[in-house]
Formats: sequence, structure tokens, C-alpha cells
Amino acid sequence: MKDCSLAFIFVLVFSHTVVAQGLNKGAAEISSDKLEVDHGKKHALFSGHVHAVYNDLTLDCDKMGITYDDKGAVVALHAQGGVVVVRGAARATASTARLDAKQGLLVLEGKPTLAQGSHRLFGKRIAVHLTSGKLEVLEASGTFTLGEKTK
Amino acid sequence: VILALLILGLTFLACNDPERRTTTTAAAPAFVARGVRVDMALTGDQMILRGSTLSGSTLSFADAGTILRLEGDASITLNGQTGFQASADQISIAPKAAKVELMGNVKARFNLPQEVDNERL
Repeated sequence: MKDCSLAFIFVLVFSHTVVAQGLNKGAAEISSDKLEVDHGKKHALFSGHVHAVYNDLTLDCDKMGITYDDKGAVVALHAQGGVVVVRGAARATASTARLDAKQGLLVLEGKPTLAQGSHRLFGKRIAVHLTSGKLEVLEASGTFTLGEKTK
Repeated sequence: VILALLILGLTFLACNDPERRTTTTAAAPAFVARGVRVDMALTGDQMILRGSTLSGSTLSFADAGTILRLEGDASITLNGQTGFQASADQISIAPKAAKVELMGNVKARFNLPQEVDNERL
């Protein structure tokens, strides 16, 4: 129950200030050591020091697979190994991250954490509904400092 | 005279057909190719890279000529106006398998679908 309350407070703060700030239109720029594209399967695999930038959001990881459609737009993304997502003062880490671009769903797994300032949220699985800004945290726990202003 | 003009006109039109046009700017030893239908040149039976744009400093073939390799500020745009563009130190292309491999300082660009161009994303 305590965890639920904590998660609820964190969701209010984190989702409002971080997730729902809004990204504008634009392309994702990705750099890495290596890229393998299977154009028949519409799949691209980045490996080695993968760094992706989408507006003010950055994602770093060891390996990242992207499935794209006929127009070259991202349909799904799967990041593996040392996943770090940063946006402003907020930072999320996990072993894996999966993005379903059409559903607007980002799922962090593998000891996922969300942090902003002194606030920390941990869980077994963290799902971010990008279109609504809603967070779902499975088996949530963490720390939340009362009175601290979030940026 | 009319026949000659007709032949000249048809030749001009054929040369300016964007589907057929192949432009190579040779400033030896550099190689630059844009709008090349690489698939036709290599396999003769597939059009999988049709509309793609390639450029690089040097061009070579590997694996019995089935792989096209571009080196030195190599770049590729797959199928014309798709969201995919990339550059790297080296790009290897296997047209028949529709596979592209980029090595060293890879920089790629993807679009996100319209569905997620949302203010709350």
C-alpha cells in the first residue's frame, strides 16, 4: 500500500513534468559504431556506443534494433544493454527498452529506474504511455522527497 | 530533317528520364554516384534498391561481385524519399539480399510515424 501511494505521487510528479512535456515533430538521429540494415525485413540493427537523439530526449545503449515501415518511419524500437534515457533533469535506466511507436508505448525492463532530483522510483517493469503521459509501474518502490520542487 | 529532329528529341528525352539517368562525377581517384540503380548493375533481376541514392569516395566490389562497397564519407538514402538516410566510413551493400552494413562513425536518421506526432509524446 505504501508502495502504491509512493508510486502514485511519483507518477503525478514525473509524468506531468517529464513525460508530458511534449515532443515536436522531427526525425530521430542515431549514431553508433555499426549499423546493419535488412531492407527486406525493414529492420535496422545499431551496435556499439549507440546514441539516439529525438528533440530534447536522448537514449544511450549497447545495441538497438529498429523496425520501420515502407515510408521509413519507425514502427518499433528495441534497445538492449545499459539503456539510459535522459530528458531534461529526468533520467531513466534499464537493461532493455521497447518502444511501440504506433501505440505510443515505451516499456522499460531489467531493473528499471526513474529519477528526477532526489526522487527515485524502481520497479520490475515500467510502462510509459506516451500519448497520455500515464505511467504503469509493476512492483513499485522508491523514495520521494516532500517539499522538493521539480523542474 | 524531321526524322533527324525526332531522333534527337527522343534521345534527349531518354537521357533525361530520371529512371534511367546515371550521373557519375569522376575526379580520379574519387568516385561519386548519385541515383544509381545498383541492383540492376549487380544482379540484373531485382529492383530492391531502386530509387536509392549512394555516394562515396571510392567504390569496390567484394564477395564475387555481389557486394558493393563504398568507402570514405559514404552515404545512402534508401528508396528515395523514405525516412532513412545514413552515412558512415564504409557502407557495404548486398542488393540481392537487400542488406546494408555500415561501419565506423555511423549516423542514421529515421522519422517517427504521424500517429505519434502528438503534443503529449
